[in-house]
Amino acid sequence: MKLSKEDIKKISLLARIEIKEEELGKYGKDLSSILDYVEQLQEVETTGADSDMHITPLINSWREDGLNGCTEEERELILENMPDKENGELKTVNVFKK
Amino acid sequence: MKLNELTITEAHKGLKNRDFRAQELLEDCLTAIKEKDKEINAFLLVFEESAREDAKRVDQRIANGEEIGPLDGIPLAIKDNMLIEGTVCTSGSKILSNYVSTYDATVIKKLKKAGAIIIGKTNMDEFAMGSSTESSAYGPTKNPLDTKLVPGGSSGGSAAAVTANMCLGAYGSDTGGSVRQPASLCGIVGFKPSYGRVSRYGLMAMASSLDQISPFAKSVDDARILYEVIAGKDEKDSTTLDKDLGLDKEINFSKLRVGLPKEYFTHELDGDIRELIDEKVNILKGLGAEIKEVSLPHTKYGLPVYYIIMPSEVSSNLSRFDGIRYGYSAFTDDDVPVDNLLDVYMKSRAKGFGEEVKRRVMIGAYALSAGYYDAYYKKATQVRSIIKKEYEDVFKEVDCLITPTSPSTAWALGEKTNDPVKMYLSDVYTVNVNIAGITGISVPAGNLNGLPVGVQVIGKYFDENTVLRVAKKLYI
Repeated sequence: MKLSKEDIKKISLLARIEIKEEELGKYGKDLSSILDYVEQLQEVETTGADSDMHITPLINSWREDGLNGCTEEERELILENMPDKENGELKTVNVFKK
Repeated sequence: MKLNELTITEAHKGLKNRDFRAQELLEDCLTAIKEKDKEINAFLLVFEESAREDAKRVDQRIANGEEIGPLDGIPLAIKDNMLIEGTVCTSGSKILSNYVSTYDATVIKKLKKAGAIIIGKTNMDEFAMGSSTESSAYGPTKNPLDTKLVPGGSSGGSAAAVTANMCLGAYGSDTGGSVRQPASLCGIVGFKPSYGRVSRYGLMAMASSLDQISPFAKSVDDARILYEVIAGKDEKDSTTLDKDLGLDKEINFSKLRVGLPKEYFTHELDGDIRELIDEKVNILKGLGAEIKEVSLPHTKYGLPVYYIIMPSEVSSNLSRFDGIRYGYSAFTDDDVPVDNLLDVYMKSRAKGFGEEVKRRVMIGAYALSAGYYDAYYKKATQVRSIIKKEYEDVFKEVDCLITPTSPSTAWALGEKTNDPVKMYLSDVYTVNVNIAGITGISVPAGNLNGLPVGVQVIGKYFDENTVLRVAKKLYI
């Protein structure tokens, strides 16, 4: 498997990571070598094997539904972590063009 | 002997008998950090002040004649992917260089309640992606036994901190071997409990179906103490189970059946590692255990399964780092022009993530994309279930497995950083324990050319008791 520069461009969009033009070749090479490595799975006979596996024997794990909210202290910490905010609300780039 | 060189069990005895105070124990650890950590780089953050206050409180309780628990006053280090409210948590990434935790992880809550002294946060491969602690955005951690070598990873900071006696025990996270492998390379104990035993709430998710918080210790007894205090069902992690730990049950070594999986003893194994493992097996033979060769034919497919399932989960888990709600954002970076939301996502992640993280997010996005899902992700989950079944079957024949932990001893810094697949292969003996969700421990087995070699004991799902008791016989 050899990923082209075009493939890497497409994957970078899917992954939401901008890859500079000059790095496309390097990531193409790295990703191709990883895909070559995992390719060996194709030789395993998996007919009838479970693909919806979970590690624990749990079927459902319930708790009471309810609104817990957070403390004022936690709220402050959450707000402090925001890259930008206005009047206690998250601020980011316009979603709609003016 | 300095107090920081004690085991947890010894230090507890000393505190209880009032041979020394928790504050003195802490000061010896802090001194070790000051003397050695400039070179080793095990810690990203040291909580000097709060640790001193906590130690003082423990001393007061002891002075008041209060009964203390096994972790009261014990200085411990925490891998920097577990949240401690009000303190910076980076996960080894630039994208979180200023992130402040908004709550305590469940394990942190439990440790605080147990009176442990949290001395600091340790270095790690970025978002736990790596096997050498070289992918940290804050520089590599060095192996305290020889600073030209890697400590292993991804929890290399925690492993180095324990090895260099900067704390008495530490926690890491083990997704494919990230605790057992560095324990092996540093010559200490690393213990991964079964999936579902320990809450992952407040652990930054890398690969949710594989991640498990796991302790590092200087002895098997200490590892058990560090495990017991964090184990148990947590309402906030729906994959945890309410099941008795069962650690008090004695085992009869003359009836123990020990398996040596032949697929783990191949040509990939460095020089005389096999002989060191055999010596350990002979200890069990001497106790009357039955030793037999077993086979786990799909062993070699574990790592390729891991390198599909893990990046797939990574690409989903790391989508939260989008430059909008927390962490680095291109939106507020004057040097990075952004036009629209997509720009904010793409540029924040491009600047915030390191190379290995980018590779894995992209592999995951690719493996899960339309047209490739069946060939990659579905196929990997199918092989995963075959591997899991193989372990279940082999555990009908034997009670535990003995294997090497790592195919090699610690390697030189930089030796594998340019070849991702070569780096991945260092987890070849640990990864299947995570794939199958079972439990494993690495304890020192001896030295090869002056460097430690680890022996791994693998047990069936939820049988931490056998694993710990066998490991204790191998490493006294």
